[in-house]
Amino acid sequence: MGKVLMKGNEVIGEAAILAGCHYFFGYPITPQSELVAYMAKRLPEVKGLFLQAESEVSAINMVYGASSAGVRVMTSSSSPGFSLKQEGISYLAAANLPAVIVNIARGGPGLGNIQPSQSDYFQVTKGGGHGDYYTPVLAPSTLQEIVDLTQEAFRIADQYRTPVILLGDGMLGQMMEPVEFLKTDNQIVIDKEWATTGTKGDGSPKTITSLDLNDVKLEERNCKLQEKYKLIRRNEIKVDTYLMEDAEMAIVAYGTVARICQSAIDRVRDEGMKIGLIRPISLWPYPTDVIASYCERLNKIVVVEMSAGQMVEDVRLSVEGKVPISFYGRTGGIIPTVEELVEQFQMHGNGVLR
Amino acid sequence: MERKLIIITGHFGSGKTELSLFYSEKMANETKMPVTLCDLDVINPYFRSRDYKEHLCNNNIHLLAPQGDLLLADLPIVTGEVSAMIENTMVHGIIDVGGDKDGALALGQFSNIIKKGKYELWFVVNGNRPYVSTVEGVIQTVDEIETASRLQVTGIINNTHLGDDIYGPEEVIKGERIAVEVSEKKNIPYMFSFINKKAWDRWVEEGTSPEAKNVTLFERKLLAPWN
Repeated sequence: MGKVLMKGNEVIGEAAILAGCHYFFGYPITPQSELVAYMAKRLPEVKGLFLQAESEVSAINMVYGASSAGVRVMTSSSSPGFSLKQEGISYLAAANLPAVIVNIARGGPGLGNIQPSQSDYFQVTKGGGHGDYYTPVLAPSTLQEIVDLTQEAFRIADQYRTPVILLGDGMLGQMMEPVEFLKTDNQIVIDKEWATTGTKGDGSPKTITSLDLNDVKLEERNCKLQEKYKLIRRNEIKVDTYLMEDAEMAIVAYGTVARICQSAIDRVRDEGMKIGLIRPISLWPYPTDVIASYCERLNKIVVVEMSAGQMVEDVRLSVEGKVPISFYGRTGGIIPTVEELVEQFQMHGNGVLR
Repeated sequence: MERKLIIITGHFGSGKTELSLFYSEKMANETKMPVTLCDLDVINPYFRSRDYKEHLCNNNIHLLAPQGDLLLADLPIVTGEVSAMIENTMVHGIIDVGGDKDGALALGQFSNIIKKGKYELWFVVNGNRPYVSTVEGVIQTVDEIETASRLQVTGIINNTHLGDDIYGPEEVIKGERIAVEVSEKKNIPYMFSFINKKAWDRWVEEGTSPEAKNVTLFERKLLAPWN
């Protein structure tokens, strides 16, 4: 199969199917409805199951059920609908169930609007639901990267038995780019001996639960989860850098915004400013050490987000006060333009780097 | 001068809005009759004709779309002005219909008044989109749109590309082959290849420009924020 021109939302669907995900439960919401529509059309073609749930809460609990049965399963939504799924995600995390949950974020808080936004960062990276848990979060910035990271999300979910979040924004979901679907190892579905598919009388009953009435047992569950998170932190950090080799000023941005930053960086580079980009791809676990490793030779870090400033907190924790940090953000679904970022970068770099 | 009513349909993401913007501008430049572009897209939340309101206004094109903040909503709003525009023979009308049969359903309600006058219903093909990359896929989509809109497709346009301008002329040829075959099988006239001028200029420079039947070049308006 050669290159095809697809919408981001369609790409997520096709990549999931390629990764062996034949079960999808969801509820439409702008700007991710094309993913639901694509799965409704495409899954029957591969003898999979698409079911439109009566709500996001139902959808995430259907995911819980399908995952317990050992299949690769996905659900998706956009910000307000994603909030509705939080209880279910906490249950999945506690029950050690793999699943991929997509959030194609839009302007918030509240009902907000249907424009793109990155203001769900706190929610996706700090747990989101109740209890002590984390979910790995992958944030693609191109449609080809969606192909790779959707499949990677299923690999991580199965390997660690954890829900994984794929975070995009409305722009990434709605825009079109050529993509190619290539075979990877992430398409191999591993055998899940824990799945509740019946014991055939050869062992004790298999149960999936997140209920521990006994406090000692619940603490044990928590300790095991924390051990797992330690492992994920060690193994699953993903980050990309652009022109950081000689950079004296770094921009930190992810997803759609990172691409706008890259265009702005190219422009100010032409004026001689030594500036580069650090683009976290895994938002949890966060590439703390990678950012810290540049501290010695950076004069300044500017964090750019389509939010009032959320990821900037993780950047601050990474550099531990060694580098001054500024933040530039737009909210309400407004996408910063290349021109306004050029102006910001020039202002921050002025007198320091020329 | 005879008024024109051009309705643009196709699989979603095939380039209907780009073509609508181009054609309304072309008509505004070439004729004295006022031009109205009607954004009837109830499918897409982004990259709609209405997002180019200022550009259209600067080119003396009247935009017919939901008013005020509702312009930015994803509500299936179709204003009463649409039927007035369809029946008004003193303006040229271009209707940018949302994708697929679902988008064409919004058009269907006007089929009776559309059929009273002359109209053209164009079907745009991008052979690199899922479900319309084969002759059968295109024919199925044409049939579905004709059923939903209760109108006949009168022309097929090839808009096969791979985004931006970094693709080869073979894409145009591939799309033309699909569109022409559909045209023959369905007995619908084949119209032209709609090609990004940036890509075309590069092919001319490289000496690889495709030998397409009819070529209409356009400058891309629907761009990503980093372009």
